[in-house]
Amino acid sequence: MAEPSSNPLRQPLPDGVVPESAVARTEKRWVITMVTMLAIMMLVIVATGLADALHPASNVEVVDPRTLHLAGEFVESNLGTAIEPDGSATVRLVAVQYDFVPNCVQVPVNTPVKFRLTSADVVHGFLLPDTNVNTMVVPGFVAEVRTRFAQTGEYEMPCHEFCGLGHHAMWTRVRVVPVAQFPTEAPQQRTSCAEQ
Amino acid sequence: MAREQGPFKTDNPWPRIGWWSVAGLLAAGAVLGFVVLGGEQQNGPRLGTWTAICRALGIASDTGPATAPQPPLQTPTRIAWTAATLARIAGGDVKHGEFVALNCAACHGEQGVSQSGLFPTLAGMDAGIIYKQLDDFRAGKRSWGAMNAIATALSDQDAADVAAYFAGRVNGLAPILGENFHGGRTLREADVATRLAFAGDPARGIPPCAACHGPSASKPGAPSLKGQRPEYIERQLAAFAQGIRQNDINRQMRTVAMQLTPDEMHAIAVYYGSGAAPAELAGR
Repeated sequence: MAEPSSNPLRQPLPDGVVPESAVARTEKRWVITMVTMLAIMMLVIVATGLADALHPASNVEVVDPRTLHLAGEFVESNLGTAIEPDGSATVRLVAVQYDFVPNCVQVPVNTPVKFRLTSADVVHGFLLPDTNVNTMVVPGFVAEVRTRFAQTGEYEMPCHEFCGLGHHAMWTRVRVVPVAQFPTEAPQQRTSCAEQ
Repeated sequence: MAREQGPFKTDNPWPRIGWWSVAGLLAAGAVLGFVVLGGEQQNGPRLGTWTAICRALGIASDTGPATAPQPPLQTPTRIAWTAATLARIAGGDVKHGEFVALNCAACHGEQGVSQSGLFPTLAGMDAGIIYKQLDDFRAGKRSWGAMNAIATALSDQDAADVAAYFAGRVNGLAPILGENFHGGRTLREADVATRLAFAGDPARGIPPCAACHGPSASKPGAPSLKGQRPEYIERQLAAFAQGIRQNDINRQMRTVAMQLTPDEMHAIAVYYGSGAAPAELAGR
């Protein structure tokens, strides 16, 4: 046997009983580690949420998924990009097995954009790579995401919630075009690049 | 000496510390989630504390989309698959439907098994689909000269009855959930029709036909295709692609058909229609 160590954990235990001081110290160390980890994780969530606008939609809006096509905000003729009086863009989309409608979205660059989505059947997902846009599209609820595109280009927009046998084919495009190229239209008109 | 164990013992400080930590964590989470993050909106001013909390709970919503001006309303159909609609369809009377169906036999064949490529086989088609198409013809949402007039002459109950009658006929379309999904049919499938029917073409955003039209999966409004007249299938695909037919809810068929080439439409039609009775090729 070696010399008795000064570390209480290395001391031979009397009949299997751990000294209480050793237990308390170890537990304290573990608690500090855990609380620090938890605090760091919460800090990361809050910091990215505030800095990159990466947070879930802050409002709950309900809608009947079975009658979307008959009346209300998500009728076929109202889908696509609308330019609001203040110059911002509102994009309305319906996610349905197995497509987004319209299946090509056109938005102006450097303009506040508000996506409003809902699902007509099951849970879908909506994700634009390299942006803060990432949300679930749940039937019965409207998912609202705000963003702003700094560069022109085309984003591929996959459904990232498994939604059925055709899930792998469910993706579409968001085309960010210069504001000058963006058609200036009456407030009641909707545009998309789906027909092209 | 061992301490007294248990979550509510007061002589031991650790349970108390534990409870307070959990309570503190919940409180901090609520403040961060509801107020700090919940009040933050991109491209807009910060929300007030109570507005943020109420919006997050769904008590209040300051977005009023219904009142915003909209383009002229355009709907693909009058039908929605609500419980009321399904109940009306389920209430179809087969006996009376058989009587109504006497009007259909001239075009749609004996007992709804079509002998012409111009007209679809109705035998075995889901009652909801027949009912919806009749309503679309009546409302002018789908156009086919004779059918618009015939559907207008039918009452809502007649439509449900005749739909129930045809849904119960055999020797027509294969049951939509009749066979299991065939494994091994992948994107590497050489036959274009089998590939599109069972794997789709993800690069062009084309889901597999089978994901809605069966076998093994179904969707309200999507008819069984196995056994349908191939000429009819091909013409409907072309009509959806060109926007001549627009009565599909949420553009489901128009979006897919737009991506298909004429050759692919033909291949799919032949594949699904291979079980149909010999055609007179009248509709090509």
